[in-house]
Amino acid sequence: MAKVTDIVLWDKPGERVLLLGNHAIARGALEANIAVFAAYPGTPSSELTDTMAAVAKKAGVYMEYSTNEKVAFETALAAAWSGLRAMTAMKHVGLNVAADTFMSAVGMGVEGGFVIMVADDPSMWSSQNEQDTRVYAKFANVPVLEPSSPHEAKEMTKYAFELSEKFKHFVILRTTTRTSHARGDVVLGELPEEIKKAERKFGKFKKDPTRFVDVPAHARKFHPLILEKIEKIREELNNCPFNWIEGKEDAKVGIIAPGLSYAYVKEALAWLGVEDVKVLKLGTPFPVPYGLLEKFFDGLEKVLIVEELEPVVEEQVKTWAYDRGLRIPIHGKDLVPRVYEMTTRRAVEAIAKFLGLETPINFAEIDEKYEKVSQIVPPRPPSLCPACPHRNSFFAIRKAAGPKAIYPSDIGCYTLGVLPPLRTVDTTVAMGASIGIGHGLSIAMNGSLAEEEHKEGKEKQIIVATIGDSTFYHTGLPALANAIYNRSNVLIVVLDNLVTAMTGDQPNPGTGQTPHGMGKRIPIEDVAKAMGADFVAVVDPYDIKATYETIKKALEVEGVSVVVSRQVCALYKVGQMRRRRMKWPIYQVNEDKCTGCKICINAYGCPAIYWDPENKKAKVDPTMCWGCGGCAQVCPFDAFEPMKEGE
Amino acid sequence: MNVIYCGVGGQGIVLMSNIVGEACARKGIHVVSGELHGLSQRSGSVIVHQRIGEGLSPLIPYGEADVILALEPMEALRYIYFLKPGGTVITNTRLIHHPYETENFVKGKIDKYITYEEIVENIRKSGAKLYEIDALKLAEEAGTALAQNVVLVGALTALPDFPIDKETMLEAVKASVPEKAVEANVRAFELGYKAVKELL
Repeated sequence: MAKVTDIVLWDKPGERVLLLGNHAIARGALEANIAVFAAYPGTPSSELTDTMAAVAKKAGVYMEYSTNEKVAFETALAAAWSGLRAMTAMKHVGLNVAADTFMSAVGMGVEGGFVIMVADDPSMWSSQNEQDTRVYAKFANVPVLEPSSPHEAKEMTKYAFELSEKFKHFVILRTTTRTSHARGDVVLGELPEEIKKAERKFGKFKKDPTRFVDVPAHARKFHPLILEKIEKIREELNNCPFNWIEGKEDAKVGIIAPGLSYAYVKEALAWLGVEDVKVLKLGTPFPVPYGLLEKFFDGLEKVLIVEELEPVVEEQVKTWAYDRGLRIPIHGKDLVPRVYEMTTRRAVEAIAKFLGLETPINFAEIDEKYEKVSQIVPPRPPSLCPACPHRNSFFAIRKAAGPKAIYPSDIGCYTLGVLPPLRTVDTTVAMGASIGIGHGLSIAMNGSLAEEEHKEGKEKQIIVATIGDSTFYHTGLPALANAIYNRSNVLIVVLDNLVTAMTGDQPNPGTGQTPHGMGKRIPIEDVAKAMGADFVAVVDPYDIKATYETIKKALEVEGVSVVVSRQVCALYKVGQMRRRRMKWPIYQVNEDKCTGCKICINAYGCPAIYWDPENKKAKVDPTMCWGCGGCAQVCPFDAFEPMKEGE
Repeated sequence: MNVIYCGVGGQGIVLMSNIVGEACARKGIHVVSGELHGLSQRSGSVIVHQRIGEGLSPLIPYGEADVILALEPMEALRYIYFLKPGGTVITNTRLIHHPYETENFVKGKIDKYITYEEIVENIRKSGAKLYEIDALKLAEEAGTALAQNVVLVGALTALPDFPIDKETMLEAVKASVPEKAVEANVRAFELGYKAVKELL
């Protein structure tokens, strides 16, 4: 099969291919002759970043996995200042990290096209909150483009670079999980010669302190400039190829559908059999072009805005209508839910209410019918993989620090340590917050070692923060410096699985690999030592006893202890082993030795272990065991034994 | 045709939909899929929507799925509300118990694991046509337990109203799996195909 990373570089204009939304955006960036791409991975944006990494060398594009979104933003922004076309990508919460630069630099504008791809996650399939990036766009006065299909995502990417260059302004390309992770038909366009020849494009930065140094005297002219630009862009978007009016020209009712909601609205109208309606398909939810509204509203007696999450389009339309003296009913969030993702059902229900129609099927009846049959199914939340080194780390930490210890944690696969039976995650907020929260809890309960009055020894509240390797470099570094500087009394365990596992095994400074060859490796323990941590050790969590003993020792130290628990991600390792056709041992329960004590289930919780109620013994599902042998170390009766080989 | 693919993260659910997607691309049939990646995958419940030859949005409207193809039976029942009245469920017969369920069981919070029979009874109650496939057994027979997903793709292909021919599907299978595993996967596909043909 042609690999996606090959397809996005195919020199076959007009060819129809099947691509994920994120892959299509990568192709769009290449067709737009991108020169620099920098990003920190985050679901649902990561496939764009990984595709750019895979094609970078072949396309002459500089690509880096930056240590966080702010650094990535600045890297791409400076490239755009140097006249190059540049892009950064992130998940919605990544823009919070980059927001300082985003909000301050917007007035400086750009020379080369600068596109900020932000992937939102309505319904929070893989996220900690449900923020709507279009609100940020409005806040910063930056135009936002929102595709309704993978093909449109590609075309919009090209347009975004052109728009950015034309107005020397930032442009946001906003997707959601359902556009980033939709796979559909995409028609390839022309690739520029430089991309085909893999010619690396270099830029030139022209000094202009009045523009690039935001001291107040310079920055005061930014705000009016931004407002002037955004109104010019609003005007321009009247002719944007991703905005159009369709349906019946003399209809009395109209529906406005931004982004992917357009697809749901079209399906809902077909399902309802409604034809007497005008639809405004909106690819630019901010700024809404007034000229188009003028045309759309002509002859309408009522309007419904079907948009996901916040009423961003609704507020603009209502403000415009009020100022124009229009007094027809405009519905939006009164009929369309403000939380969770859009579906055809939601669009059908909203439109049916809006038009006073019956829904084509009785949803409530079906809900009730199926609730009865499916309520017997137990929940299946995500859980740590078999052989996951984090499980061993959490097991050892909990055994050493006990149930009274407080466990701040962070964003990554290891957040799943919150689930039973491990229950070793008490707080998770945002990237890097484990160390800041851990420090704050220590200050609240133990005080700083710099204070005359503080608690230590047996008096201190034990606090063990856990943070992944990639998260440590992302935002853990300043928090660690703060904790050490302010004499905290905490243990920080860095769960170092040598990849950014949750988003798809991207490299980070812990391994030093880059898409362009070897960078420099920055060992976490060296950083901790250099910063002045009071205790630093490295352990292998596949040796549970040694991990436990090291953590015990670290807990006796007053001050900031850092233990690096290092073992490669099991999913990553198994993938590598399968590719090399390597085998691993599969553990089985020796029924003569198993006493049925259930420690392996009640304290360890590997998904490969289940309970055999007839024999009252634990059992291992051989298709799920990845052979780490953690169960054999946890079992007090040595009942787990390696048997045959797995694949 | 609207197909829901579901199972437990790690079973190769996205690959099943990608094989069918690849076959659609070869036949010039319009296709759009809604996938899930990231945290939602890790041993959790995974669902992929696929719309073959119809549909604009990547999500199958409620009650409009023609087929549910499940690598794990509990997941078939979990998503049964997507199925059209009288739609088809093809399910693997082997249960995978979540550590949650196991812990609740050993702690006495539930008195037993859910059984395959209970699941099947409820799927039948919904009015669905049901095909039961022991995909693990067939995959092992084909040469690799990893090919359970391809067994089910074969089973899907055997449905009378499936819009893509067997040869194109086989080409798509060959193009989608690692080179070293092509033979075993072709056998797995054939075994799944045969199993449903015999049940028709």
